[in-house]
Amino acid sequence: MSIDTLTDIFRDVFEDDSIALRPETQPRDIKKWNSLNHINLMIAIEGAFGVTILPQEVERARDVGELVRILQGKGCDIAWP
Amino acid sequence: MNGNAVRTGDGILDEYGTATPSYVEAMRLDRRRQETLPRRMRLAVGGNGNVEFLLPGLRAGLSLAGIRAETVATPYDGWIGPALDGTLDGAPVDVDAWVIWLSAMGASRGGLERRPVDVAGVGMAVEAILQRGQMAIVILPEALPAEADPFSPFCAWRRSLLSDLRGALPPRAILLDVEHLQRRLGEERWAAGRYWTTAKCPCHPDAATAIGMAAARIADRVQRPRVKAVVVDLDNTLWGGVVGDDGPEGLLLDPDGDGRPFLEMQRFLSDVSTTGVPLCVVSKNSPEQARRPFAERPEMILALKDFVYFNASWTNKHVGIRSIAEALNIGIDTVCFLDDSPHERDEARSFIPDLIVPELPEDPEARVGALIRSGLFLAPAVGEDDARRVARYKQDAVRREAGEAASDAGAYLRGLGMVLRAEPVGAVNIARATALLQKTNQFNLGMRRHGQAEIMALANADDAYAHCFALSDRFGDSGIIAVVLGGIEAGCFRIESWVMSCRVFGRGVEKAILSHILEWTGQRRCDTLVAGYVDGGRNGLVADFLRDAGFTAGPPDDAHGIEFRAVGLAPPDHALTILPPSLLQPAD
Repeated sequence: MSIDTLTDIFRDVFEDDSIALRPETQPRDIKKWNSLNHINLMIAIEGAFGVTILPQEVERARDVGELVRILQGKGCDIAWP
Repeated sequence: MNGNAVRTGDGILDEYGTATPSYVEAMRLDRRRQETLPRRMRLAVGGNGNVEFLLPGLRAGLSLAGIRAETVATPYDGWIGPALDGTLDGAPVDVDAWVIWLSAMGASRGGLERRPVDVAGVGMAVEAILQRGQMAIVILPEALPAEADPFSPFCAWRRSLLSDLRGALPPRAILLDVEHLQRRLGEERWAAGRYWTTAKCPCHPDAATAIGMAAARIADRVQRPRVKAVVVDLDNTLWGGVVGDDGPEGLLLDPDGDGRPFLEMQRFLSDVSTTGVPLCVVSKNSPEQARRPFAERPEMILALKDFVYFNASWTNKHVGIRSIAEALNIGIDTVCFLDDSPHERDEARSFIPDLIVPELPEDPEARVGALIRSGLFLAPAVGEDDARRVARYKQDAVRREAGEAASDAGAYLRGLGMVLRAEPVGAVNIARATALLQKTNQFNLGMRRHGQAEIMALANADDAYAHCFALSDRFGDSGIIAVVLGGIEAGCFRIESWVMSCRVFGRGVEKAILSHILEWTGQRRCDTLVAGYVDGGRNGLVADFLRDAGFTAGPPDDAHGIEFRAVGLAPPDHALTILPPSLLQPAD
């Protein structure tokens, strides 16, 4: 699986089809990435990948590179191109 | 609207949202369906957790019901102030309903403490909401994960919290218990302490979505015309078998055997009837055969006296259904027809497209569950008046028979001995007056849906005329059946609102009320009456009445409004005795 699944989730949650993810993408790069939508993003990722994201990971995940490492650590088949 | 499936990209939900989407699906649903929705509802949402997670389910549920929701969330644990004074950040909270989520997670600080809760404060805040004429839906504390151990001290703590809340909340608040949702979703899909930790969401967001959908369903059912009568078939619906073929003794009615599902249907309908919905029978049978099981089978839960109209004949059922709706004086779109036969259901639907005809599963065991899940019979707040309504419909049925027997209509009406009591609008009758103004669609002059506060303001203004009218006759007391709000303004008497229950049409009550108004205006030397009529689609009979009474219609304006005017009107003839307030008998 490429990064596309994650990109689709970001585009869905933040309602912006122009989003293109890079490891350094952060909340300030995406208009609607506020604290409520961050939780909504976590919920959507949990559902799509079938994983549980722990509270301490939720905070660290405000950085796409770190988020991808967290998901890889849970066995998600996800990789940068 | 007959249980049509709504197809969404994520699955099929029936009209009432029986299936629950996930939180993420609800967010997508909410985004997709917006401007084209026919109805609108404004809601304030508050609670002791992060209520943002309730919103997608609530909004998606309302949009599935055809309602465009406008929601405002109060801050975490900060709903009581805005609820008490009706303002948020200095602006009035101008909403139709409040949804208040009193989670056990929030009350226990995430399952850590068993603190007492200020239930009196909650009760006062909800009372303030109701006083403003807004609907209040209170989501009651859910079972906590700790309660998986039935001896956990959290069980006792929550039980006592629930009982305190039920004691403190006003009876008109709608209480939504969520334990049935917890059973349906299971602990796995419900409990998720990590969402409390990260976002103060009291349960898994998917579970919050299920709660929001349930609250939406209730808000929808309260707002739209409810089922006002049930017309039910007999053979293979109320009992197993066909009485004409099997005889009363051959019918399946054994409560410990295969009669159970049919008796379950009888119990369900009996309970529906206690919420103020009259039951009627339409059956293809001979009248004698159809009645025999009621007399000869002691297992029957429903008795003949539980039915307002009993129509057993060989004519097509839609004929009987229509005549029952006419006799009850209710719109056909508020009548629900229950029949086990798909053929009969289809025929009724094709002849009466507006009739409510829920699908009944072929398996008798599955039927009551399906009816409950349809949401058609949700009666969140049953008032005293609802409880008495069925008895009144029965009195009407007796009157009708007497009326059909009397050849001279005038003599019949005089023989009824009708007495109309005019009561000024005040604390004793404000709840009923508000309900009548909110619910009446047929005899409704201006279709203005005043809230309680607005009515009291109108009633307390200078030169105001604000009266409720209660009707009784030799068959019984109908209670308050009409409200008129008006007042003298620049030498004219303007009727602001006039609503009358459709049950009392055809007895000259509206003429008696007009006489009362004319007497009042005469005493104040005002001879010009103005009535602001607004065409609401179903209230044409008000315009007809005004014309017959001698009013002249002005030109219609853009908002379907017509100003009716009359000068020097003579009081119309009627057969009622009007009791002035000084002779007012205490109502019941």
